[in-house]
Amino acid sequence: MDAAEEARLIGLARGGDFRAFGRLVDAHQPAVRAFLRRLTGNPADADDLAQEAFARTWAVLNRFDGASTLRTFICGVAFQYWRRERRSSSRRRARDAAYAELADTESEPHARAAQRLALRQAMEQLPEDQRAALALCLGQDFTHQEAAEILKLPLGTVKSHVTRGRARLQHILSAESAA
Amino acid sequence: MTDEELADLLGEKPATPDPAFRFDVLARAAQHAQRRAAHIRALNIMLISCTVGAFFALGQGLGFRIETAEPLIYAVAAIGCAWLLAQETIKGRRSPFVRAFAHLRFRL
Repeated sequence: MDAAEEARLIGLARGGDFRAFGRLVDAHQPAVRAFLRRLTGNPADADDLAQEAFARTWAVLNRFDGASTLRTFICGVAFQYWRRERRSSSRRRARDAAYAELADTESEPHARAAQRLALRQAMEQLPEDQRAALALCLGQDFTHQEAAEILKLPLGTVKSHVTRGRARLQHILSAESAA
Repeated sequence: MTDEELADLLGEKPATPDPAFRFDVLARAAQHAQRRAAHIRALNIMLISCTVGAFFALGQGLGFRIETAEPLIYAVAAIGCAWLLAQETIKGRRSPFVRAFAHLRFRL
């Protein structure tokens, strides 16, 4: 979707057009859902958060000033939701995530499942901002600049988070392969 | 291992936009809007009730009695009835303006 078409749809959605907003949801859902899946490690929780973020975006669309892209704006909302959710129910979430990990990896080849579990555990240990920066930038979905806007961090900090986080994940994976 | 492979291991991107996801988002957005509207309605009712209660309490505190305030109460009641009648005439289901508003997509 080009910028002009997106701006037209945003204008319609601000006027209460649900169909236009639906098209915006379709355009941005893959990136937002992928970001949240990498962040939470659990597709069901990620989709739940993504839906909340989109629904909130609909409510506050008038506050979107166009200084960043809409995708960046939605991911910023999603990140805030994730952080709030994480702080409010960390114990329940940890238990659910462990259960989901087992369920998700049942149908996978053993080596890949082990790598996935090791990566998720490594991600859990990273600080919030570093984890989010990695989730945004690893799949080439977002530039460092966009990640900095979403996380409200300086560009240099985001670059450093991504470099260090990537190195840590690679180290864990190589240790996993060696074992 | 490349960045893309790492990203896929952490959580794969949905291959195509999922219509069910869109419907869920729109349903949630509508639900949130209804909840907000209900909160605003409840707040309005509470404010009006408090204002009416405060009016009578203040009146009594200032020494007004029902007999002295009678003309005022009649005037307020008459204005209230006129307001309700005007609302019904303009916005009601049998209002002569309904069709015109529908054509103009115009809401008062």
